[in-house]
Amino acid sequence: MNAALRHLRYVLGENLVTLAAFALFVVLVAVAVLGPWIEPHDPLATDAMHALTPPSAAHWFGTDAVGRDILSRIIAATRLDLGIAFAAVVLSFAIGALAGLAAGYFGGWTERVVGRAADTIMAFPLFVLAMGIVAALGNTTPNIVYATAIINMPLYARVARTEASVLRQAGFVEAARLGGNSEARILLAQVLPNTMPLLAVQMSLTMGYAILNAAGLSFIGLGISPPTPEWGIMVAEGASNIISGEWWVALFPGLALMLAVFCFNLLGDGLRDLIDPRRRT
Amino acid sequence: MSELHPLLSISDLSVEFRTRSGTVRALEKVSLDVGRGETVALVGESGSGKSVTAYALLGLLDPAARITSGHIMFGGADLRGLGERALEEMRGREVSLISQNPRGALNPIRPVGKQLADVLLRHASIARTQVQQRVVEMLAKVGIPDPARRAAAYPFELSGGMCQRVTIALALACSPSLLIADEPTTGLDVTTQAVVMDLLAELAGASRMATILITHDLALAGEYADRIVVMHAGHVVESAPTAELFARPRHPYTAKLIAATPKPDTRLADLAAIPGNLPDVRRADLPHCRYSARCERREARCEAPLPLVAVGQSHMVACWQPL
Repeated sequence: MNAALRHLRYVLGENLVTLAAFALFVVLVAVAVLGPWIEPHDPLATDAMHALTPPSAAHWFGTDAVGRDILSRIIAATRLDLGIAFAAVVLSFAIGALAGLAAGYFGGWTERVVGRAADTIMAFPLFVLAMGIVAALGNTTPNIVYATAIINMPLYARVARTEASVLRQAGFVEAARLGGNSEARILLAQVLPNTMPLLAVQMSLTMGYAILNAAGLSFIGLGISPPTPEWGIMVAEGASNIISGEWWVALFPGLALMLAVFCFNLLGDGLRDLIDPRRRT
Repeated sequence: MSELHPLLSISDLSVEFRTRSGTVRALEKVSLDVGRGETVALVGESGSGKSVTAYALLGLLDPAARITSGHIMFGGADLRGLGERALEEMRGREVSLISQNPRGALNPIRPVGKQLADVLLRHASIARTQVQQRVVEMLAKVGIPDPARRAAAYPFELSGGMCQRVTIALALACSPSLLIADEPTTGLDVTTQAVVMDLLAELAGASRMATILITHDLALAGEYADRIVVMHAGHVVESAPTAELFARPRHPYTAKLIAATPKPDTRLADLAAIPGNLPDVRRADLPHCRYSARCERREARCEAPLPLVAVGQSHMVACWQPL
């Protein structure tokens, strides 16, 4: 454990971009976890007397058209947006990566079925596919998670398939077979860990996509329903105010969204450095 | 298991590969006995069927391969009749293999000590709490200095020779009764080769483990094997105790191989090359003697099906007119 911590410190010290992304990540997670305790105001409480007030000491990010505190709403939305994205990433990793590994490792009809399924999903414009899924199933939080997971699955399946099809020839896989391990065991204990550095990068990137996707669905009215605070809805609600000069309503939630996506995109390489022991030199 | 039967007895084993360019008859009527504690070298050119024999006995042939005849008796049971589960139990515990690429045989992202622990936990009945101690013991036994610290090392942090020691430790972890060493020293430099071979010989001797040494290096085989089996194009052409084989090779191919092996007092120019190549084993009209096309002693009766002649005690040769 101590060695792992030392390695974490080394990777972060080595690369400032990773350090910044990691710091941002810690802040995001802290905000998501502590949400209700650090919101200065009730994110749902309206206050018609103070509608559309610009950023001030009382309301750092200003208030929206019905007088709700924007900072509190951004904080409250962090947990929801990160939660949806995280659940979607875990789901698409679990299904996509396993299917891809099996496809690459066993080849034959497994590969054909998984490959065609992934190609079919990739043939759609992905956001339109997500819209279709949510529209068909109903716009509840679990359905947004499923839609986001489904459009990300092919990415995992492809990366895992490519890696596994190379690794199945590897000497240590052969050695494990010679050592009397079953195929399923080799796949999970030998092949999967060796694909993790690449899959971790993929996870971090798709985390960014997933946040954008969830916010995008809400932005066009197919995701989370108002008045629940969510970054996409808040940007949508604030969009009409920009023309009349109340820029803060859309800007701050948009900024939060951008920072979150940015953070996960930058985190990818650092995550690979953390996981891959070959980088510990 | 009685001591009367050899540990491993392969008889009349034939293996075919179905390929797009025809059926490759990779092994034909290969017979081979290995006694307990005995070291048998399988010697031959690349493509002569040495490794195929080993993989056939482990039940790990390529899906395109098919065993068309023969028996593989190991410890009194025919391995061809065993199910996949029974084979998995056997591999690594009863029979294990050392490959020619030690670094490739180790999982690159797992510390070597953990990999050793995996094998122990898979096959040996050993308590979890004692595994770490056993791992260090095993690494010490294969001569790795500072084993407690090296157990935490990743394969890429070790030299080729050290990696080969680790794979030897892996192969010997469960005290198998048969070890297959598939060109164990090919990937190593010359000074390390001798060290690794001495280590193998010492460990095999200490535990009365039988060894099949697969090599194309007749000199190496001569140094370490009790008996040598010479293979050519999927046939066993000669099988004899080491000293006898070198003193009196009976098959023309063996004689050529010995003449092609450098000795301290030979100059490079004195080494004899063996004319021709291995025959194309996809051909349907292969002669019975697959060496005949390269043989200087060929005559009319070589067209007839090959005999396997006993020319001495446990000295067999597949030739119509042995030397």
